[in-house]
Amino acid sequence: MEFLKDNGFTEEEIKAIVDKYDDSDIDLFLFNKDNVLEVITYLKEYGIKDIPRLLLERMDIFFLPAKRVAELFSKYEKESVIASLAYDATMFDEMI
Amino acid sequence: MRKKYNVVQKLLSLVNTRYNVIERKFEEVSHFIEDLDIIKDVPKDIDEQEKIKTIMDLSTDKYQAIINLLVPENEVDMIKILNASRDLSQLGVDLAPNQQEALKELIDRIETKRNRLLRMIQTREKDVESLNGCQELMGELEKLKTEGFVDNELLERVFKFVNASLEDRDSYYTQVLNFNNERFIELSKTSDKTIENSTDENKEETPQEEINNKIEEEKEAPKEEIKEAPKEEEPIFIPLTVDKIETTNNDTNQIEEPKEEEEQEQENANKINEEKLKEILNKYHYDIANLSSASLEKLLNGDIAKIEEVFKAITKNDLNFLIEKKENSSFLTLCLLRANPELIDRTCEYFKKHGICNEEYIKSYKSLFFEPSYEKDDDSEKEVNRKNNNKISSSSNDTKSEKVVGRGKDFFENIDILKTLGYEDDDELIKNNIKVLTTEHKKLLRNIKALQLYEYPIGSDTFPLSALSSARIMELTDKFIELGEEQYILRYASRLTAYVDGEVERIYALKKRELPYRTRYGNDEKLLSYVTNLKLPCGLTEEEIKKIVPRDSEALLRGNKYSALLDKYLPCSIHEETLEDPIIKRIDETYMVSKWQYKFNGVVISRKKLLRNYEFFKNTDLLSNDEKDPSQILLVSAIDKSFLNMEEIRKVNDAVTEKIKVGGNDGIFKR
Repeated sequence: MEFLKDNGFTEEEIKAIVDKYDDSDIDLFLFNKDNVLEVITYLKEYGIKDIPRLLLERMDIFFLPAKRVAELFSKYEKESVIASLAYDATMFDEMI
Repeated sequence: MRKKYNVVQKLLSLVNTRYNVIERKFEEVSHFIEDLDIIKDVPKDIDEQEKIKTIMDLSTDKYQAIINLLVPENEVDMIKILNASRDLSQLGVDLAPNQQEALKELIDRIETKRNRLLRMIQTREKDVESLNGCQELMGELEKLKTEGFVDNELLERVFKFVNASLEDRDSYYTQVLNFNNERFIELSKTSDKTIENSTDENKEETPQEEINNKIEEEKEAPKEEIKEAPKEEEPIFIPLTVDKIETTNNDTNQIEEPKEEEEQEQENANKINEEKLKEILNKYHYDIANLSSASLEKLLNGDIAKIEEVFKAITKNDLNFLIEKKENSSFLTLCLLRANPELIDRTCEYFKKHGICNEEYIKSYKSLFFEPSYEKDDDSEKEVNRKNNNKISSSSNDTKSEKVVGRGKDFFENIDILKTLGYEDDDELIKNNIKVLTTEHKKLLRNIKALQLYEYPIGSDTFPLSALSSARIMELTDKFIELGEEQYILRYASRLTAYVDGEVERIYALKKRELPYRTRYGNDEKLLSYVTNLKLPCGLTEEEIKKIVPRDSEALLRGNKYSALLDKYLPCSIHEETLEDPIIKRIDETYMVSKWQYKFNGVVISRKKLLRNYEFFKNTDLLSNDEKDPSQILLVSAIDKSFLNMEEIRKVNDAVTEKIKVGGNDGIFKR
């Protein structure tokens, strides 16, 4: 999970992710590391502030191709997407 | 003079190395066949129930052999359940749900093992075929040692056997030719001398200048001519004995680089592989410069035949981006070494149907190209371990980055099960639900079962698919039920996915202090952001929350055998027999507030939690009848994972014990 530290995640945030998810999820997450990094980069550029929290709550977003995340976000106003996800990550279900 | 022995020794080393590799593979195949023999009595093409019946009808020896093969010794509980299943079956008693589950797991393992063995045998077929030829060749090489006869036909066969590339052949022909000349000169001048003498430095008799000239001449000659040259030579007699090979080998080591024999062999083997690899990479227009040295090394140690098979599948399915883009070299390397070409075909065919057979989706779904690893994963057990040991450091998880995760089989099984739940196999499903679709099938089934038990509206518009891959569904739902928030969690199952540790505790504490925790958000009712975002202040400090949320039941059950069983097996069945159980009937009559809740002397307990736990304890073979004390198992069934203080625990205990006393022990838990 070192690569998350390189992307600004704290030890505590990483631990919360590891504690929450099954080992099988974590295995898959690490196996898809390149994809995860692309999504993190995209979300940063998009303006999502608390990426560790989004990952903690919605790991599934980080399994999608970054282009797909962009497609889904593009249906809404940027400010609205950022505010909704900041308020409650479950709002993502309404975007898909 | 020593060089000539080196040439012959190198050839022998090459053959020996190859022979050992093949022999090892041959031995492996024998083991595979033996293993296959153990499971052959459970035919592949029959349904699950028939398989269970077949297994139950096997002789004790055969049954035991299957268990020994497929269930590691440390899975004590699994072995216990399986053995109990057989005993009960022989007595004509119906199997309990956990026994059925264990047998299904055994069948899964049989099929996985069977497929794996067949695949391994298939990949080794060619090696096995060549083993006979190899033995023959070894015999002739032995003859070479004792009789000293070498001819070109034998050399050709050596080359063929060790899969030497043309470049290697040229190199060896040159060396042999040099040796022939050297030997010819030696024989013509010292026909009465023995090789033994020739190993002595002081008795060196070869006219070095003449040899050097010969070598120089041969170096200048075109390769084709060099290759032809030995055919024109007379057969060479090499009076070389085993002892002398050893002697000369030592001498060689003094002259050449002081490498260990094994290193030399490995170097030779690698060289051959490298040539083969280059041929294949060229054939598929892959630029070897794109590979990192680490990737190249891995490929050199890989299975050349498999690498070619994967390349074929990649080109056949137009996955050109893997070959053309340098940035994909790691993924390509992984595919070449570990991917299953059939899964590549199947995935691509399916993705083409959905218009997503492109770089983005192939990379996001890369686990579909691989078969599952054969380690036994038991998530529930790991979950418990994790809870008990919160010291999973980030570094310990880094080792996992090397693990190949294969979910190809799971994906297609997941699609099938989602279809049965009413989901359409459409593009959106595939594009938006990668995590759910690549969840281990076994886990997805378990989650679906849990969600159905708690009556989540799976398949409806309001039910988010993401919830299907959540962890701890039952535990969370029980907690929401005990907070009186069952309608909220059933309506907003997204929280199952987004749940964060500490969230339920916040709700509990806020409710207790009559502080707000929910609000309207458009047409929806949402938890306030400070309930789910623990970084935000909620009006109570963490210390206050800790004081408010009682943890006595957790403390009471820490290390408790019953609670440990619940953590491990996560029971999620409630059958009619349980609802008809006299004790449950009495508890229902007195304490049931709704289908979701019991209220034991004012303490709210999730009814489904109590029922599913109780059913598990009642049916399990993991507890002896003495251990199935009704008051004990009812109490644990009720208070497991609840936020309760000691006073509340006593109230629950008094309530359930009273019902047992009133009704007496109805013989449910026979001793």
